[in-house]
Formats: sequence, C-alpha cells, structure tokens
Amino acid sequence: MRTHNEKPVKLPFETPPNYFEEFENRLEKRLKGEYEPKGIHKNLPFGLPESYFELLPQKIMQKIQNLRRAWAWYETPFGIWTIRLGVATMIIFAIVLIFPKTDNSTAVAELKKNLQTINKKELELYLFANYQNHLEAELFDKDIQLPEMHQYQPDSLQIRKKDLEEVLPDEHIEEILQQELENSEVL
Amino acid sequence: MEDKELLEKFKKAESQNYAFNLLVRKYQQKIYWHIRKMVIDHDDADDLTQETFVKVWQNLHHFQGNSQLYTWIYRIATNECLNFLRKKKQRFFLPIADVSKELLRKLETDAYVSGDEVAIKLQKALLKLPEKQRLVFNMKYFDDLSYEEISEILGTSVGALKASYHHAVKKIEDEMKMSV
Repeated sequence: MRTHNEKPVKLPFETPPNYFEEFENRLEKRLKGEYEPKGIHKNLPFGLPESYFELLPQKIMQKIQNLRRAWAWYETPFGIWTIRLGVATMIIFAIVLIFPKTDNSTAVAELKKNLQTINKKELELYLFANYQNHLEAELFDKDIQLPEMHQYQPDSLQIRKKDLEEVLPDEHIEEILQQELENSEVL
Repeated sequence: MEDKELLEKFKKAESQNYAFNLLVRKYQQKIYWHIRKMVIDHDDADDLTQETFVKVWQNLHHFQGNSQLYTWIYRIATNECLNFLRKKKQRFFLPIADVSKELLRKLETDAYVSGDEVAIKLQKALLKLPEKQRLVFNMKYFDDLSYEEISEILGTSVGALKASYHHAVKKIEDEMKMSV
C-alpha cells in the first residue's frame, strides 16, 4: 500500500486564486451572516410621485379622523340602534338563507293520489258520521236534554217565515200554513 | 424625538395627534420602502402604508414596550404585506409563481419604476424567491437590520434567518449570472 510520503497524490482539481488565504475571512463573514451578493449595488429602481412623503402624514391623519368620527357616531344611541337593527336584519337574512321554504308539492300530489283510492260510499259514510258527531257536540254545548230532542231543530234547519217569503209566492205560504193548522186540529 | 418621549406624548389626549404626526414622519419612509419592495406597485404600497399607520394608531395604547417601537411597526407592515399577497392569491386562485409573474409585470409597467437596469435585474431575481426569503433579504441587505431585529419582527430564530439569507444570496447570484 502506498502512502503520501512515498509518492504525493496529484488531484485533478484547482482552487480560485488566494482561496485558502481568504478562507478564514470568508468563514467569519458567513458565521456573522454578513455576505453580500457579488457585483450588485443597493439601488432600488422605484420612483415616487412628487412631494409624496410631505403629503403622506396628512393623508394618514385624515383617515384616522374619519375613523374617529365614525366611532363617535357608533357610540350615539342612534348609532347603537342602527347597529342592532343591522345585526337583526343580517340574522333574519341568514336564517332565511339557511332554512329555505320546504317544497311540499310532492306531499300534495301523494295526498291526491291517496284520496282517489278511497271508495266514494266510504267517504259519504265518514262524512255522515262526522256530521252526527257535530250534531251531538252542538246538543251538548247548548245543554239540551234527550227528552227534548224531538222539539229541537239544529240551527241550520230552523225555517223562518221571512226566509220562505223570499223563495215562495204569498199564496203558497198561506196554503201551507192553512194545511198545518188543519193537521194540528185533527191531532 | 426619542420613541419613549413620543409614546408618553401619545398617551396624553392633548398631545396625541401631535405625537402621532411625529411618529408617522419619523417612520413613514422606512415603512413605505419596506412595503414597496414587497408589493412593487406604488399605489398598493401607498394603501398598505396608510393601513399600517392606521393600525399603529388603533393599537399603540396596547404597545407594552417589550420590543422596540420600530420593530413593532415593521411587524405590522410585514403582516399587511403578507396578507395582501395572500389575498391576491386567493382572489384569483393563483399559485405563488403566478403572483410573482404579476409583480414582474408591474415592475415592467409601473409608472414609478426608473430605468436602472442592474437594479431592475436584482428585483426580478428577488421576485423568484419565496416570500419569506425575499423579506429576509430585503430587511438584511437593503434596510441593514440585524438578525436579532429581523428575528423580533418575523418571530424566527437567528440561525434560521442566517440560513435563509445565505440561500437567498446564492439564488440571486446564480440568477444574476444567468441574466448577464
């Protein structure tokens, strides 16, 4: 095995001039983070409108004054109520957006379909039973006892002479009344 | 006037406006140029500088004095810049590369860009860096801030900042060599 002492090894690499002389200096700069890009200067290519920095403080102060005025208004009772009203409107709007009106057209169509399947006779019986229920409820409400039932006529069946006069000629009414009188005498 | 004196005057109602006016005059140029280097366009930089000082006004009474006043203002300005660039990406659904392209276009079309070729080349090279690296480079190279100050502004360790700056310098050198 050969050693460096026996024959120096010639590497095919080269370093820039003064590389090792400047190495320590470069390392120190790097540790401090002070290196700069080579061949460039610190000029910026940007320009400004005339008197920009003289006018900028005024613009900023104006903006701040406007904000202050706005806050002063918000702190008045009118301002506070306007904010409350605004918030309430936004909440209502949000609710309307989040919970839109439900579409019930399919439910209606289904109900119609179900009604078509019900027998007409069954429907009449159901309505009649319902009418009886209403009749009983009316009797109960008016506190009418069962023995009096034959004397009672539901409101909808009470016939007044005035009503009859509107639909029948006078002679017919007289005729009916005469018959009624005769019947009662026979009884 | 020293920052401490400015803050004391700001706390008194009768001298608040005066103190704030002095504060704006003292820091407006540093803050404007810091923002301008990030957003390139003068009108955007003008808006963001005003917005930065409005926020300084709104929050100055919360300032505890734990950091230096100008690093605190720099931090507000930096956040304004990053938010502005983020919103730009979100608004137009742009990837970072496309935001850089838009800033490059502004560099070529803005009415307030001078004809210094080398400086424009450097800005073009800078626009190819990630935002945070560009921030670090600008603050170190152009604003001469120390790593400790940048660390206070960005909330990043000094070691990480050194590495970030080193990478930025290398990339810029390569970019400048390529463009020659």
